[in-house]
Amino acid sequence: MRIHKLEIQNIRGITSLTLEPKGKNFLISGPNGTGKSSVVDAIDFLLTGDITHLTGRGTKGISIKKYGSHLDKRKQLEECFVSAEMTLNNKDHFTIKRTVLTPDQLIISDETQLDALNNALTLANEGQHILTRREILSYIATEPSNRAQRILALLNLSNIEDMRQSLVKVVRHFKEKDIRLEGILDAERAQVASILQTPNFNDEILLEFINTQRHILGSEPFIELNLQEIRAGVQYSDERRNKTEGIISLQTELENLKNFTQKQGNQLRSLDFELRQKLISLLTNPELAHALEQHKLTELGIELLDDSGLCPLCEAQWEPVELRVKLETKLQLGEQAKILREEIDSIGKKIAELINFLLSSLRRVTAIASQINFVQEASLRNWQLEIENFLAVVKNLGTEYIKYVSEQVAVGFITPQIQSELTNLESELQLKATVISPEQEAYDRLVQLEQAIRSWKRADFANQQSKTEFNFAQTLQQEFLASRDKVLNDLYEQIRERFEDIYRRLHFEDESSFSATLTPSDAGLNLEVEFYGRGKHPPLALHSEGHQDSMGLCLFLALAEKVARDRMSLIILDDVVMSVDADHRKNLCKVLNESFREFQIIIATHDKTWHHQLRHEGVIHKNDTVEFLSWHIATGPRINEKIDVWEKIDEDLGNNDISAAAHKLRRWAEMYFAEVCERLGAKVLFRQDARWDLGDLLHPAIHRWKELNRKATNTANSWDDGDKRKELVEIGDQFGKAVERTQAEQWIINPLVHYNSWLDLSKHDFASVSEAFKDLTDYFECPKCGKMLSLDNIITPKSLQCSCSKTNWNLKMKDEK
Amino acid sequence: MNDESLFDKIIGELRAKLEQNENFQQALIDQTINILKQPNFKIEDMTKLIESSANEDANQ
Repeated sequence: MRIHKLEIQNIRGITSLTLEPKGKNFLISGPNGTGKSSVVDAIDFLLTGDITHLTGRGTKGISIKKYGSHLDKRKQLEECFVSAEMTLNNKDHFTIKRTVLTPDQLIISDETQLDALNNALTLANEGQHILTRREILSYIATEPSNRAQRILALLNLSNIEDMRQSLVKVVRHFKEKDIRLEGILDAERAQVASILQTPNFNDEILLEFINTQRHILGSEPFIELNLQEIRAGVQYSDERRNKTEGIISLQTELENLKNFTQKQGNQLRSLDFELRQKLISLLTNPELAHALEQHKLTELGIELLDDSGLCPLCEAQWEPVELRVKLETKLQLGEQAKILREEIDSIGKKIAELINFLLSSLRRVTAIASQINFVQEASLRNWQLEIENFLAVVKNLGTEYIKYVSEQVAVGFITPQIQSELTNLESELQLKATVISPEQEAYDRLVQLEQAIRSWKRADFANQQSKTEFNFAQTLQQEFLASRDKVLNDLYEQIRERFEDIYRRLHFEDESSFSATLTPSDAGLNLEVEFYGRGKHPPLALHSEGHQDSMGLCLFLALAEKVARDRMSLIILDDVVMSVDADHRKNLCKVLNESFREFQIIIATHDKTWHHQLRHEGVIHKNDTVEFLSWHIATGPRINEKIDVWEKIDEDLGNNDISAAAHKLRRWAEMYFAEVCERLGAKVLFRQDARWDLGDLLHPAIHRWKELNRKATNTANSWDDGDKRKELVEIGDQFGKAVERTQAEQWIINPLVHYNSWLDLSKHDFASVSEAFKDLTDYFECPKCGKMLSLDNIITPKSLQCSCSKTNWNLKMKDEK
Repeated sequence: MNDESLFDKIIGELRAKLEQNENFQQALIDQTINILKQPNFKIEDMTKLIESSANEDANQ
């Protein structure tokens, strides 16, 4: 996608503006507050129907209709629009237009372009077309999950992340179901246990109980346990059916409750004591708790450890033996903690079994108490609630258990008051019950047991099934993650390599061996970067702000290259190099020139140095710029589209405004010769405040040029290259004359006069000086590519050349090694 | 970069992995993939499929 012409009417701070980037890189420069960002907003609006920084997070829902338009045109929204003439994949030109009145509607002149355009606009909707100062760190400082979401969105794979989240919910659903059914299974088993009057039972106990009842009923005992038909062969006429049936059968539960303290109380107290001791040992010892948390990690660390002493987890350098000893000590502690945790879980399970047994009887008792309107029913229900709360604490064994007041546990949950209530209930029940025979009682117990076993087996079946479901869901989730990572890892690897490469090219002086890792986790994408040979760390941890900005920019560019090249190929950089220093910016220009030629790059900046670097390095052609000079709310930005200082000076001279012309020439010359001094390695007198003026820069620049010209001439001589020597001598002579015309030497000799004296010149005299400076630039730039000449190496230069190599002065003598 | 193929690659990879798992019958895999490929797939559809599959296994 390339923008050839952009028309903005009444958008943000702009009333009316037409720019013509002609599909090429384009520079929008000017001081802060002159409306540059309104152009960026306008392009954003055109492509997305939105202005991301207005309506995004933290903006409290500022609306496009209210604040997207120019403030004076809020009632004429149809007059607030952006349109652009553009091309896709360098094919036919077409126009798109969007108005603030209908921001969701994109008007397109050529419907056949719609599919390809939508493909590009999908990326724009994810914000890939614009990088602003505000957003630059979002690539670096963001949470791994946000980074992953952003990249997946760019890859048009948001549905993959949605899928992952849905599968997590599916797994959670089955996990919760499994926990619930496990609780039901425990309760149903406890119901069987309560009939058998023992919390722990096995097939032998079951068989003995059944045969005891069968014996009372005069039936043959079972040799083997048959839970399907425990009343098989029982000849008993079950004719008694009256309202007290349930009450009579409750006798077992009442006995269970009344005897709980005596029969299971001691066991409960002993288990409780043991559990508390072990929990305190584990939870109040941070070292042990930490070792448990990191046990698996430590195991993995030891497994990956080699003899280099490099930590396989964080890449810190250790003495090899020291690291192994440390990890082994940690592993031993972890093993100790793991055993302790297993013991805790085992004791917890035994306590839960006892409590379930108690609850099973209690629930039936409270139900019957309610049925007969027992006066102390509320007290029984409170008691039941308390025990249920305790069971919840037992199932989640942690600090809550230590804090749980153990008075109830100490008396086996049967307080004297409860004992008394149970006795009252029993008396009341006996009054209402008819006397029944032992055979009837045995028969009732078998019926009860049969029903309880049926429920228990049903719960067991449901529980097994829920485990199958959980395993199924978990496997599906794991295989999905593995599949996603396998496919995306390859892509992430390409992005990482590109990110590394771009960053190294920007920072080759001090971080030429920079490396990074980009690794997916469940929901995230972790980024870690090398810090000067001291291992990999999060970018925010150690790198400077400028380096972080560089990284954000490099990651954005790497993504743009991998994700957007074939779909959008438009990059808008809005003041993104503020913290990046001049050398690295120059390197950035090279990267943009070498690797992003297929993109149209639109750059907004208030930074004059960056402006000049972009021009001199050839990222931006001198005519592909617009300068925003000032801004007024009623009229919008005042612009100067062609930043040609000579035209502007001529204009000032035409108006007889020597002062303005002199000011422009001086400002321009200061920036220009600062760049020359840097590129030629000229010796400039050091100033702590770094505020060199033209007097500080011009002479060193001229002197250095002459020095290099002499060196190049001598070099040509040493190579017997007469033609080159002659050419260089002639250029040197012409250069001397050009310098003379600038009258530079006069001002250098007399610093008191300085450049302010330009103000005293006549229009004609100043025009000569201006012309002389313009001519002088020819000697610092290549006549073919127009780019400024540079030394290949400032310290030990071997050549002075331009980017296209048309100008190339050899500085290495024939006999020089 | 063809995003459609990236998505398909992930789904294809998942299908291959499930096919290697003996607990997953072909019909179940097909239905699972169909649900996953639906835009904004419903969690209920997946839980019902898993429940009916586990039920079938248990009754066999």
